[in-house]
Amino acid sequence: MSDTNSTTANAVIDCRDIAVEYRLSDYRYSGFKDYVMRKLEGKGKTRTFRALDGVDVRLERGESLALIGHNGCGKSTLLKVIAGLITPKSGSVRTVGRIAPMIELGAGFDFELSGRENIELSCMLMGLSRAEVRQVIPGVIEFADLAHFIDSPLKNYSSGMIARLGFACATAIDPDILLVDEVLSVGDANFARKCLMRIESLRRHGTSVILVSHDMGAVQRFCSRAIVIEEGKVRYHGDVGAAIRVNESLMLRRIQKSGIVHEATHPEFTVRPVLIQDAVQCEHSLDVSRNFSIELDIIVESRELIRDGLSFGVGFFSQGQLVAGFNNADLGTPDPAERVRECGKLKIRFDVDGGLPNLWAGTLQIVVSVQDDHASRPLTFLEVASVQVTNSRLGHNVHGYLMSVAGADIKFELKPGP
Amino acid sequence: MEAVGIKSEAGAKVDEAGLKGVDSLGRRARDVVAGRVKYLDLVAMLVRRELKVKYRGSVLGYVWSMFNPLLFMIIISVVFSFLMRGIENYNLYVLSGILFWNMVTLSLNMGAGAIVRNGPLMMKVRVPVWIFPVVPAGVAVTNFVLSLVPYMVVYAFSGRPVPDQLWLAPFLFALTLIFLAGLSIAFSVANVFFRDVTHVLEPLLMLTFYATPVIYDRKSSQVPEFARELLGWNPFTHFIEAFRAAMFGGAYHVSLAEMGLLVAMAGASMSAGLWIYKANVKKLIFHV
Repeated sequence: MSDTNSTTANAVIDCRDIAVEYRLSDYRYSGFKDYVMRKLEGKGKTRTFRALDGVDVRLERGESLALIGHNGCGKSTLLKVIAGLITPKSGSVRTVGRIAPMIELGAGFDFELSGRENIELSCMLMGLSRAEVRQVIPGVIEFADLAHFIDSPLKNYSSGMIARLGFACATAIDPDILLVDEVLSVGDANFARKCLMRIESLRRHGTSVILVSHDMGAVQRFCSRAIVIEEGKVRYHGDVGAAIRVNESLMLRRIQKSGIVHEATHPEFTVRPVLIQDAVQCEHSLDVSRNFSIELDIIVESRELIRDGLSFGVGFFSQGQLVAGFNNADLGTPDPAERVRECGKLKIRFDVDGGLPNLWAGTLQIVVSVQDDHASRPLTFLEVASVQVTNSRLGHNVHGYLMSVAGADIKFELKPGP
Repeated sequence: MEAVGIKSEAGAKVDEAGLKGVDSLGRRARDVVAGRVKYLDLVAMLVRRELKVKYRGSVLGYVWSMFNPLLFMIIISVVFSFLMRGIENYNLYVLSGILFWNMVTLSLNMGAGAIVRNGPLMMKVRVPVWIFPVVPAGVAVTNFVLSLVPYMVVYAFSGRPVPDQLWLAPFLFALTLIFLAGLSIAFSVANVFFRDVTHVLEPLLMLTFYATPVIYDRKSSQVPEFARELLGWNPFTHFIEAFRAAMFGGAYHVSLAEMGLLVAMAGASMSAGLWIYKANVKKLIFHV
């Protein structure tokens, strides 16, 4: 190929000034009658939500770019715009060559069909012809390492096998552009490593890659550039290390704004939470290898407003991400709504016997939430303490790894308050 | 269907020597076929998948699925044969009608919900959306062709001569496919915005069953003049009568003008479907 010196000629993705709007109907009409009624009553107006606003993305051949940002910031929407799934409201999208959108591994797989037929289906969905599919099949089977199972139906496969097959299909079509949306978090570490190696090899051979991930380790290892998106706008574009720092500071600001640090409470509830270890309130550090409890003093203003499906939860946040948590429903306790209506003033206590040795050491924010099944957001969501976790058997927190409360002995207790 | 401003350039990458396995194969494969014809492969694949699920992937499954129209034929011919004395080989007459009608209901009932059903997939894979409603039409027509086997068995026993206009059958299948696919596209797009389309369609098709000469003959003396006239406004009447000419023969004959009408109706249906599709295709993803 004659290589032109102009940089634009080499761009495989050139998106300019992309804006995407989603309609948020207050009332989502589902049928013709509803539609007519809404129009007649003049309530058919919809609010719009700007998912992307003035976003530019350019990508050269063989480059790898990371999109980072909080959940719902527009990363996935941008990926869908580049993949051609969503037509933006304004702006121009130009892509060159074949795109493999890996928005979900094994999208379109049919569990009744055999592995081989699913390869055909999946590759054809990505735009290959029958003749082309026939040529890529051996390579897919080899990469997915499924030679023995390839003719049995997919319903007999394990989830790991399906993920392997999905990944093999997506990369087998030899894309010019590979869009990876958080899919590497499935499967075991070995598989994730193999996938990253495969993506890296594709990239060396000229495939351009966009990676959407919360795994900053992978982003740092793999990408040469990063774009930080917040609320549909590009906040930073450039060096990966700097992007990660920008993202973290944005994250902290969001947490402060969203009231995880400041109390964001429902008027019905006044909640006073305390973290207790060795019968004293801890504020700065927590030894997770020993017993501790979280106590909530709750005053309910108007009891009749309490609906069924109430639950109390505890969450552990690391750098703005929920990394572990539990709630009374997980613990198998009956719906406390009835008791709460009875008591009005109450004391709730989570006893964590034996501690939570599977939390990584490091800074953790401990947050309590009061949730109502019927409401889309927690009624109350506030911080108990921001503590330094000590004495964890797992050592220091490696960013991006989930923690676990598995195996812990947690008790939930609700009694009338003073 | 092409999203706005998205251009493709095949072979934009450097072909490096020494690439092995999937890489080089894929690269070579890409140059084999270009263009849009590839989506017909996908349609064929999806049709085969649906049929496989329908027949549960076995010959026995196919045999079972053929029992339904045969059973229906027996019931109808026993119940109505005294009413329809004018029609010779009434059981065969009914069977040809039922097979046709099964094709219509299968394709439209499945087709109307096709886009909504495939909504999750549309979020993940870039695939022309028209494929989803076209597949049910393909499934229904293929199913009709496959069900000609039991039909031919019953036909052989009837001792009827081979219909003169049998050669028309392939054209009729093609025209019906286009006609049903057009309707299917229109209904499935409408169903994205008004979810009650699928619910309304089912009883409507049931009504249309009686307004189509499936189990009776339009030209029979028992059908009053005004009804005969009225039935002429039902497009399915013309399709089913053409199929009768090709599959049943005898007194049934299709004229060139009638064939012209079928071509016009298939064309109109497909144009309407594609027009509705084109006008809405960019909005679909936000509503499914």
